[in-house]
Parts: sequence; structure tokens; C-alpha cells
Amino acid sequence: MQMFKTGLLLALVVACTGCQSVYDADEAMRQGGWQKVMTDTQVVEKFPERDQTLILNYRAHAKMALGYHDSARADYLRAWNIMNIGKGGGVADAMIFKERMKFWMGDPYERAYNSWYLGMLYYNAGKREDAIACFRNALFVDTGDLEAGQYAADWLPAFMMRIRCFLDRGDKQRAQEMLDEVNRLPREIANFDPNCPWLTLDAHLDSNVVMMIELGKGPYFTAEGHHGSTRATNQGEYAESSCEVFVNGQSLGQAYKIGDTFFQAITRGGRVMDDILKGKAIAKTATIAVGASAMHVGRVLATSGGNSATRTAGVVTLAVGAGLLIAGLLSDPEADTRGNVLLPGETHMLLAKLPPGTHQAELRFFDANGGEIRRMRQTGIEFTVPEQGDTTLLLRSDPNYVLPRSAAEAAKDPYAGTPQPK
Amino acid sequence: MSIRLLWAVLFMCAFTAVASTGGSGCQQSTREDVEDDEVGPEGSGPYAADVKEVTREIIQNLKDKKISRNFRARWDDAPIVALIRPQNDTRFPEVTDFFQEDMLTALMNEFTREEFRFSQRASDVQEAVSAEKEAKEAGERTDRTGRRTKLGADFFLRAKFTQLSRTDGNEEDDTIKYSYELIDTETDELIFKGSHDIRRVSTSKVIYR
Repeated sequence: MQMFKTGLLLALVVACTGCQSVYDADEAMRQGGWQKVMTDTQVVEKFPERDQTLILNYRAHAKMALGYHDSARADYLRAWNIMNIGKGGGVADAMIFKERMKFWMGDPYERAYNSWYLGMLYYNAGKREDAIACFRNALFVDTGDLEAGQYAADWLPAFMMRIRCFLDRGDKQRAQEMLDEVNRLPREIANFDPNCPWLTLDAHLDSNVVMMIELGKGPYFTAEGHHGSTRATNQGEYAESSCEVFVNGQSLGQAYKIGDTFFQAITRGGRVMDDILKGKAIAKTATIAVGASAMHVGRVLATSGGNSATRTAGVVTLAVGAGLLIAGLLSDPEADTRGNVLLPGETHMLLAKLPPGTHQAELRFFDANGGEIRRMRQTGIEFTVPEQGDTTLLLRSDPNYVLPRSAAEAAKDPYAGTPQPK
Repeated sequence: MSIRLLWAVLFMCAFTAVASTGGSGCQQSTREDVEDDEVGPEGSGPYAADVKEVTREIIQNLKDKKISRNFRARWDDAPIVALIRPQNDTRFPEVTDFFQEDMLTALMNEFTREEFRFSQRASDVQEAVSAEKEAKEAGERTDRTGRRTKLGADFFLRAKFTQLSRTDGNEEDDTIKYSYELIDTETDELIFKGSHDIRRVSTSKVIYR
């Protein structure tokens, strides 16, 4: 009996080692902000292989937030390749044991964000043809099987930046086509502000500054229901709901919401995996019950004092029961709750026309009641408007992004001067 | 015997679970043929082999249409071609730079300077050339008489990548049209235009939606 107990204990240990926690980026942000995330994720290979794409996105995000744009772009591109071309892995383990043993590839909205950030970095580096491809991919991964009546792309940030790319080429016709597509979308207030004045070609033609301002925290997942087999998408909590932009002391007005991450996360329909997990939850309960019953019967037979054949049958039944019990314990229907927790809750946009030269921007954030959240006020955001073309700024409420002031700054090695990790 | 069986089951379960918790950490790389699209990750996007296929087709078109011979017969000089940066309307980044470099290198390798001359129109080079010319005109740098003008192109060679993408969540089906054209810069006459379609379909596992 002692050996059975040891075996069960071993099985439990194994089950637990198979579900060790993924890197807690939320906690890292609380402790040391972007810098801590960037430092913690310096060596991606030290994390389980199945989590490395998520870690790569975290590292890229932290680098981008700190102004190391070239290095961030390299990370985002690597993650892009895995998320868009890779086949994943650990699928059998996910089916048999636990979903989170599969390689993380991201949900559609997380893939869209990966493409979007990569596109923004290409755009600001002057690689507009690569940028436009990324924005197109952000829309592609945001699209389901249209013939089956599934979702169509409706995340405006990618549309808006494609429009800027077309205008950069001088292709007003394609820009107008994009705007027509946007204007055909349902005016769903949860998705974007229907009063946004930037959805016309004239508004785009009459601007040379684009500010994309990210607010709040994106959604996160929890495992709920029978054996945690249901993945729930929860809205991130944040106070800021709007942003007013000042340039050189003058108000340019409010930025308008053009994207809502929670809305994107919950409007993608169910996953195939959800049905598998529900089946696993039922099977787990049944297997444990049958296994335990068989063990009980086997033990009774083995210790009944009957003949040798009865005792052998008892031991075999006991072993089969133990096997079933272990299989039931090892099989974990809990839903995979890994997700990119560094994504923002909303994206707001402001278009402006400013004279060429250097300018100073100030951002003020307001709660739902219109009260300013003073601790989030950002001042002295320096940017330059070129003689020709436009300038695009990617900013965030809390914690804020650092903008590189030159191409040389953007190209800096984020780990320069730090000891090489072992 | 039965106890052994039980321990074997336990051992196998433990081994599978532990082995699946992470990678081995080993890395290895092998050198493969650039044009072999059977090795490496499979996707529905462009491969190096696709781009090279298009590059070869464009060069063949330049030869077939006797562009150089006809131009030289008329003007007694090699035509100057500017390779315009391609437009990328696919969902795949990186293909533009790769094509631009591959095309330019293939053209330079294929033709002598007596057959074709090429103008470098990359924006960073244009900036540097302009700065150099200003320095020469200001007397800060030496110059050779008669070489103060940048090359005016006789032809623009322009490529565009467009794409038709379909997906049902399990399969991604991408047809990329690599179109290219040679334009007479004096008259905007289209000397030739061609396209090369490549369709690739890739599947993803059902648990990744």
C-alpha cells in the first residue's frame, strides 16, 4: 500500500511540475516597470519553450517602451514569425495533460497587436512597405471565415495606419477605400468612438502628426467552471478613460478612442479548445471515479484470502484502477490562462497639423467623470515634425513610453554595459 | 509482476510529463539551399525561392524584349534603368528589401555596363549623393568636370506585390501576385508588364484558432 501512496504522490508532483507558473509580467511591472521586465526577460531561453513566444512579446514591448526601437523590432519580428508561420507545439501534451503545455501562440487580438507594434516600429524607422504589410496582417489575423459568417476585421488602429501608409505613397484612392471600409463598420461604441472626426480623407490629408495614445490595461484570462475548464476573459481595471493633448502649451483637443482590446478579445467566437476542455473535464471526473472504484475492488479481492487466481485478479484490478486514477489526476482540463498582460486597454488617436520643427507635447488623462488623474500627466514630450511627410508617436498613459530622440538612440543596445547573464 | 507494471506506468507518466515541460536547450543549424522550399518552417507567405523565380523572369523579359539592343541602336548608348522600390501590398514584411537587393544584384550580374546602366535610387544613397554634390560645388571636395549631374533614368523598373488571402481558421491560403513593369520615363509608355502568381496553403493545428 505504501508503494501505491508513493506512486500517487509522485503523480501529483509530476502534475504540478507540468504547470509551473509563467512569468508574472504584471507583478514585474509593479515592482520595477518596463526596465524590470526587460531585464528579467533578457535570456528568453531560460523560460520553458512553450512560453518563449509570450516572453519574446514581453521583452519586445519593454524595449519599445524604453525607446530601444531597433532591438524591439527584432524581437517583435521573431515573435511575428512564430505567431504567423509557426505550427506551435506541445499539442499532444495539451490534449492529454494540460492545455497550457502547448506552445503559446496568442489569441487573434494578441497576434494583431504583435503585427501592429511591429508595423509601428517599421513605420517610424521609415520602412513603410514593411509597415503596411504588418498593418495588413493585423487585419488578416483579426478576420475569421467570412463565408461561415464569422468576424471581419474591425480594429481601427491597423486601418488608420494603413491609410497613413497609402497617403505616404501618394495613393489617395486606396486610402479612401480603407476609410470606406471603416465607415461601413457598425458604429459600436464599445469598439470605437462613433464621433471620432478622423475617419475622413480630408482629416488625414490635412494632418502631419499622428498620435496613438494607449490607455489602461488590457484583458486577462481566468480558468473557471467545472475543473476550471472554461476560460473567462476579464476586462483589465484602469481609471483613465480619455486624454487631452497639448502642444507647445496649446490644447489640440481630445484624442478619440479607435480601439478597445477587451472588445477585440471577446468578439472572436469560441475556441475549438474550449470543447476539448469540457470533454476532458467530464472524462477526468469519470476516470477518477472508475479508477478509485477499481482500486477498492482490487484491494478487497487481493486481501480476501481467496485462492491464488482471485488474489492475482485483485492485484491486476488494483493496478488498472491505479493507472486510471493516475491518468485522471494527470489529465487536467484547466483552461490555459496565459495571455499578454502588457497590452493596453484602449487605443486613442489624435490627428494634427503642425509646422515643421521641434515641438513639446503634454498629455493629460481623465477619468470617466472628467476629473484629471494628475499622477498620469506627461509633460515635455519632444518630437519633430519633418518638412515633408508626417510624424507618428506611440504613447501610453501608465506607465509611459519613452520616445527615442534620434535614430541613434533607437538603435542603442538595451543591455549595453550590463553583465552577460549566464 | 503487477507491482512492476504499476511502477512502469508511473514511470512513463512521470517521464512524459517532465519531458514535456520544456525544451532540451540544444540548438543546431544546417546549411540549406536558398531555393529549397521543402526545408524549414512551412507557411503560406513568400519564400526566397519565389522571389528568385520572379527575378529570373524579369531578367528574361528584359532579354526577350531586346530592350538594350533596341535602345543602343537608337541612341548609341546603354539605357539607364532605375529600380523603383517595390510596393508591398501583401501581409508579409521583409519581402520588399529582399526583392530589391536580389533584383538589383541579379541585374548587375546579368548585364554588362555596355548593355544596361543602373541608377541607385535608394533614399539614403540619394541623400548622401546630394550632400556629396553640394560639398563638391562648394569647393570642399574635388570633382571631375562634367560629372555634376545625377543619372537620369531612361526606364523605371517597378514591382508590386499584391495578395489574395483566405482563411477558415484552420488553413491559410495566400496567392501572391508579383507584378513588374518597365516604363519609359520620357513618354510613360509601358514597355512591358508581367506578373507571376504563387499560391501557398498552410494549415494550423485546431487548438490554435
